[in-house]
Parts: sequence; C-alpha cells; structure tokens
Amino acid sequence: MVVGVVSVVVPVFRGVDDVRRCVGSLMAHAGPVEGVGSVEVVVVDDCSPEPEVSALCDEVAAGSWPWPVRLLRNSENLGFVATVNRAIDATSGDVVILNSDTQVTAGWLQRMVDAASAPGVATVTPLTNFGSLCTIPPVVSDAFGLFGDDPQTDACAAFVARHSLRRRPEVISGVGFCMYITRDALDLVGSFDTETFGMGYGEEVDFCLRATRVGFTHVVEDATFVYHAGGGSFGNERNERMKRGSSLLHDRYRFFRAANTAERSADPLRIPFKALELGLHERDESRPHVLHVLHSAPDALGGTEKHLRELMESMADTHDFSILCPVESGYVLRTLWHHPDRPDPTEIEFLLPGGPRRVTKIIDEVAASALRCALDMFHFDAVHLQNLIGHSLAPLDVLSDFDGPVVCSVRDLYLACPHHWLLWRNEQACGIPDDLSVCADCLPVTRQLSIEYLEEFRTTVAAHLDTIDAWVFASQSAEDYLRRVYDLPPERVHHIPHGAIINPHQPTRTLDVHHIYNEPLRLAFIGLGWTKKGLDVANHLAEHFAGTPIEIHHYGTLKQPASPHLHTHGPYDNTLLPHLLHTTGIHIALLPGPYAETFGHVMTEATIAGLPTIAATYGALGERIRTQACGWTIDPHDPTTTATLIEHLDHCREELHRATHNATHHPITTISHTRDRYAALYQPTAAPKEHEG
Amino acid sequence: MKTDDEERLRRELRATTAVNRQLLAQSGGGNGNGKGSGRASTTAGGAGVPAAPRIRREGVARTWLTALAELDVSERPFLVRPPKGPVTLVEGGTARPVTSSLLVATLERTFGEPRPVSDAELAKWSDGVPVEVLEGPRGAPFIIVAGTRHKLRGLPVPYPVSTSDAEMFPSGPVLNVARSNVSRLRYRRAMKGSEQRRWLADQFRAKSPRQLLSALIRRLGR
Repeated sequence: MVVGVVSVVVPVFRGVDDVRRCVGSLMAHAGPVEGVGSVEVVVVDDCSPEPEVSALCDEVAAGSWPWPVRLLRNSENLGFVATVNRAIDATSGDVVILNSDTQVTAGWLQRMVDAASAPGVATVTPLTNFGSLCTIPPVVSDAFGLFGDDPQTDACAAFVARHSLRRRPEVISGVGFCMYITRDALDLVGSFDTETFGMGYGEEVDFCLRATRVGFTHVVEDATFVYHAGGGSFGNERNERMKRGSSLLHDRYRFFRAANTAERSADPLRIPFKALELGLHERDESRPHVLHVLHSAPDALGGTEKHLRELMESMADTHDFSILCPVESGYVLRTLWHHPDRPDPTEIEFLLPGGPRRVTKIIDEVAASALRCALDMFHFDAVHLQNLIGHSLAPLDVLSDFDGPVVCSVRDLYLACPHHWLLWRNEQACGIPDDLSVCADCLPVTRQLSIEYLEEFRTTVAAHLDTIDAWVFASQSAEDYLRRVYDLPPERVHHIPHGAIINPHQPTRTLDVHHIYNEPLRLAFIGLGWTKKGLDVANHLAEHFAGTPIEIHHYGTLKQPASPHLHTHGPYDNTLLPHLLHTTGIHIALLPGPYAETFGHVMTEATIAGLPTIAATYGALGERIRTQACGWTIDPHDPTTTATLIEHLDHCREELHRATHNATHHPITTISHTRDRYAALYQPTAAPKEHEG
Repeated sequence: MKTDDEERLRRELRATTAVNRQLLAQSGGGNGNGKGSGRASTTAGGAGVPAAPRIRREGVARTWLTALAELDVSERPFLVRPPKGPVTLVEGGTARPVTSSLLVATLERTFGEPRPVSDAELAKWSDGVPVEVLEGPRGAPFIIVAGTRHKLRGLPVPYPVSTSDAEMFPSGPVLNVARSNVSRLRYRRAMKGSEQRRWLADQFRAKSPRQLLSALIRRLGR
C-alpha cells in the first residue's frame, strides 16, 4: 500500500537547543521512504515566548532540505494539544507527532511506515529512552550514555535495530513523544480531544482508546529508537498535568487503570527488551565456545563440579563456556564468557524446556529437546559430556549429528550401569559382572529398574559410541571398567588425570619425622559419611581401636550414624583440608569406600597434605596408590584385615615414614597442566562426520 | 551462513528462555543462581512487579528439603510404631515422625503396617525430617518419601490468610479431621478381604454414600 503524504508534525514552544537538535536529526535522516508519495515536515510555532525559538523556526522554514518544511505559526499560545490538532487539520495524509525534544535516527520513518501499513493499525510508537512502556531497559540507556552529556543516540539506534526481535508488539496505547497516526484512524476517530485534554498528558491515550473502540490497533516499532530528552515539555507542571490526565482518563474509561496495570505486569516488551539486554553481552565469536553437559548446578560441591569450575577458569583466557544442567524446573543453560572489553565474565542463565520430574527413560525426550534448544541458541565449537545423569542418554542421540568434536569424560560409570556406584545391592563392589543374573538381583532393589532396562540401556550406548570423538579417563581403571561393557575405539581414548582442585603448594607438605615416629597414629576418613564412601569400615575401625592410642577421625558431613568412638570434625572447605589434617596431626588418609572411584580428588588433597592413603585395592585409588607407592590397598569388605594393617603400621613407623616420604615428594598435577590437552580435544575434528540419513 | 531470520529466531529463543529463568527466580523456584538474568527493576518484589505471596512456613520446609535431598533413598522405607510418640517412617537411616494420622493411613497402603519397636530400637536411627504436607506455588500438595514427590489426593487445600485476618474470629474447639475418617478397625477389616473388598474399602473411604452407590452401580454394570 502506498501512503500519499506523511507529515512530520513538530510543535514548538520552548527550548531552542532541543528544537535545533530535533530538526537537525530529521534532516540528517531525511530521504526517500518506500511506500510513501512524499514526506513533509510541519513545524508549528505555538507563539513561543523565546524569540530565538521563533527565529529558528523562520530559519528552518527558509532553508532547503531533503524534506520540505512548512511553518505554521499560532497567533496566540494554544497549548500542545490544540497545536497538534491544528497541524492535523492542515495535513491530508498520515502524520507523525514528534516532540521537539526528540532526535530521530537512521531509517526511523521507513520502519514506522512499514509498521503502520499493517491492516487496522492506528498508531505506531518507536522505542525510546524516556517514554512510558516504550522505554528501553536502563542498562541499555546507560551503555549508550543516554542520560549523560553526550548521548550516543545513533549508536543506540543501530544497536536496537540490530538486536530487535522485530515483533512489533501490540499495546493499549501509543506514547505521545513520537507517534505515527494513520489518516484512516484520524478520519474515523477524529483528532485529539482539546476540550478535555487541552492542558496536555492523556490526549494520546484518549485518542488510542477511541481508535481501539472502532477496531484499530496500536503497535510498538521495536526496531526503531528515537531519543527523547523528556520532561521538558511542561517543566515543573509535569507531575500535576500527569495526575490530572490520569484522572480524566479514569473518569472516561473505567477499565483503563486495570488494563494498564495488567499490561505493565504482562509487559508485552519484556522479551524484546530482554533481547536488547542480552545484546549487550554478545560473545566474542572469535573465541572457541564449548558446551559442558553436567548433572548438577555448577556451583554444587561435588568433585566433578569443582574440577569443571577450575578447568574453565584455567582456560578462561582462550575459551568461552556454557553449561547445561538439569534443575527442578527443567534445564538451565549458564554462560561463562570472557570478553576483552568487559572486566567480569558474562554469566547469564536461560531456562530451557522441562519440568519437575525424574528422568527415567533411556532417551528422555525433554532432555533431548533441552539440548537441541541449547544448540539452537548458540554456536558451539565442541560439546563436553561431563556427566549424563539427569539427561538420560538423549545427548548421545542428539549429538550424533553435531559437527564439532564431542568429548566424554568418564567421571563415573553411569554409562556402564544406571546404578553407577557399581555396588551390588549397595553392599559390595560388583566390578560390572558378565553374568547379568547378578544385576537382576541388584537393579530392581537399588534403582527400581529391570534387567531388560539395563540391556536396552547398554545397547543404546553401544549404538552411539561413534558419537563420542574423545573418551577421557582420569585413570586406567576407569577405562578398564568401561571396556568390560563396550568396545571403545583405542584411538579415541585419552588419559588425562584430573589436576588438583586446590593449591598444591601447601606449607603442610613437609616430612615431619618427629611426628611420624612419636605421635599416636591418627587416620582421617575424609568425605561424605555414608556406606558408599566407607563409613561402615571407619565405624568398625573406630570401635576396634577404642581405648588404644590409634585414633580414627572423620572430616565431612555425616549422612549416616557414626560410631561414638569416631572423632568427627564436620564439613570442611577443600582449600583448608591440608591445614586441618596437619593441625589434627593426621598420619594417614583413610578412604575405605567400596565404591570404585574413577579418580579420587580427596586422595589428591591428602597427597597435597603430605599424607599416604589407605584405600580399596580396585578402582582408581588402588591404581594410584600402587603407581605412586604412597599408601596401602585394602579390601573394603574385610575391615578386620584393615585393622591388622593399621596395627602393623602403628608398630612399624619405618613403613609409614617411607610412604609419607613418597606422598610428600610425589609431583602434583594441576588443572592448568591439563588445559592444553583439553584445548586440543576441543579443536575441530579433521574430517566432518558422516551423518546418518 | 546464518540468515537474518535464523539469527533473529535465535535471539528470540535466548530472550524467551532468559525471561523464563527470571520469572522462575521471581517465583522462588529453580536451583541455578539466576546470575545476570534479571533486569534490575524486575527482581522479586522490586519496582514494577508485584511480589508473589510468600509460602507459609517456607523457610522451615526449605531446610527439610535440603536434608531430604541428601537422604540415601536406595532402601525401601518402612513404618514403625514406638511405645510413645507418633508413628515413624524409617528412611535412609533416619526416623521421620508422621504426626498426621491421615498420612499414617495413607503411607500404610504403600509401606505396610507399622512394626512395633522399642525406644532402644528407635534410637538406632537418627532424627529425621518429619513427614509433612508441602505445597509449592502450583499444583497439588505433596509429601516427600523415598526421594520422590507424592501428590496428595483428597486433602482439603488451605487458603492462606494473614494472622490479623484470622484473629478477627475467636478460637473454638479443635476439629479433628483424622477422627472424622473411617475407624482404623473398620479399615483394617476391609483390607483383609479380597480385592473386591479392598476396592469397596477404597470407595467407602473416598466417596459420599450417593457417590458410593453410583460407583457400585457402574462397577456392577461392567
């Protein structure tokens, strides 16, 4: 549809500088507008008391501009509303009522015309920095200094145009600072109500509500920004006039206050404005972006979360990260981006589809859609599966057609068995038996799952092994366990021991011979106090050694009852653990859990404290004890033999001395040592993957 | 190469999901930290957004939830009846008192009748979180047992009023809702019968006489 003439009406009363800037911006951005026959500017001098304003009006009218300027001059001051009406009466096409303290920006009129050309539109209002519902978020105004001495108006307009969602939301009423009104609406509804709203404030709402009554709509052109100095139109009388206007509207439209409140609450611009806010935190696309799939909130206290936080921190100078994790209401995607122009990392959270539920399906559709949604939202160069619990196996399926590398860290053996503790009936280590009848006795009890579920679960993993480009194991034993179930391609297997998640350079890491030989033997059971971690063994030992010089201590939260002979110290801070152990005079870390660890951060912390370790002969702890010769391995199901070992160590301090020496001298790998290996895994794969179908 | 439309849809998806996160934070839900997700002016109870009414006893329940989340739920819970005090649900090595006899009757159906225990036996388990009815901002009231949220059906839902409003009326005698229910003896007798009698017991407990009659007619019709 082609509109004949569009008249930009600028009522002028005071503020010569504002008027100059307004007209200047109009002419700076004047040009052909598609769909419009011609554009004119109508300046109406409302008998300004400031001679310089009238002089400027004359100057503008006499000038040669891309858009012709027509000057109307009131012989007496009529006020804003009557002045606008006079201009409307003097024009024949659509009009834009533009306050004289505004500044328009590039492409503004074209987009306003486009928005107004939709059927049934009465008014179009752009976004601004001062304009009721159309006011952009303060963080955006601040970013462009819109309330400072040098507002970056054009830059802000370009930003808004770039980040707009172009939704053109419908609102109850336009806002008067810059309102495009179609001639159709004017013809049907008439112009502003001078008699009632002649003092200003409320006239545009009244007009819009009258237009709505006859079927017109009002939209916000959310890709257009027009600067509005604001508040100057009526000086100090502004508040009084606003109150009066509001009261008049309430008298005339009893529904309006409630509707207005509801609109403010629902906020039709909430999502467009959020898009603008997010636009301020754009990622530096030159940095690789890695998505971590995690089983819990990244702030949680588990070893995986701590390790991941440290890993991301150590790679912050080169990589951006996002984390997808399940929460009680769905899935949260949290960003951790660094930008050279911003001092702090950008941490934003997005709530992806989901709901309060327990993921029990092997491939959970909701988990799959959450991951797909995350992949749709941002470009990721690589995906790192840290832990799939809470996601089901859906990520393996979704990522089968992901173009970048998919890295899977085997932090527990969930992929081998949904009961990833690998404790048969929560009693003893199962070691992933070949005989599934053993599992048939366990899974229904421990996870309420059938053996058929396990078989289908493993079949699904096996079918998706190709999805994973790199399998990362922190220990050989973890790889050996997984290989009991799956035939992993050797070329895709990588061994990267977890680095220490606390500072490895601790003053406590010294060989104190006097302490080793002359103090009562003290052992520290460290970690969550429950069966999985070996509380039963610790309790047994505490009872066994009650009344002897051998002491069993516990550091951590107790989940199950502890023996009264166990010296309990309560929860601890990892970073302070070496100091705590040193202060208590601990000689040995006791990690007697039947659970087969895949690495064991606590053992690293004990080694940093300069302590040898007693732990299960199987799993990563046993492997590390044998490799580093800094401890002794036990059968967690045989506490009597463990007690004998401890008695032996109590009597043979030479042996304790040897192991302590090895622990204090064993080099500690830090996470920063491993960062280059992870960075290499995040590199694009050499050949693009062949996708099925 | 991304098209403009594709990029705009991406932005819209981001903005929508960020707003969702913000709204969840405002309603007090979620266990992310909400970093960077909110407009300063629209934080919970802040300017422009009416604050959601607080859930009664929310602070108390939150500590319970934290404790329940840490419970080892691998073993099936069971009910015990100590010599004194309420029936107790033993779960994850903790003893959880069930003060509501309505809830005791409900839990018996899943976890069996309470086993009598001595005080010494009860002392083996550490004090646990009481089994109480919880209510979120949406949905039916629920209890948490065996690491699972169980919605409750048939429980009248209270409508929160302020203390001052409640105190407009003087306090009267206590009405024991649990006692208004079918007697334990009658229920136990009904439960001992066949499946048909069990069904009848259910109907008897859940329906008014008129509803019961209609249900019976429908069942006989099948």
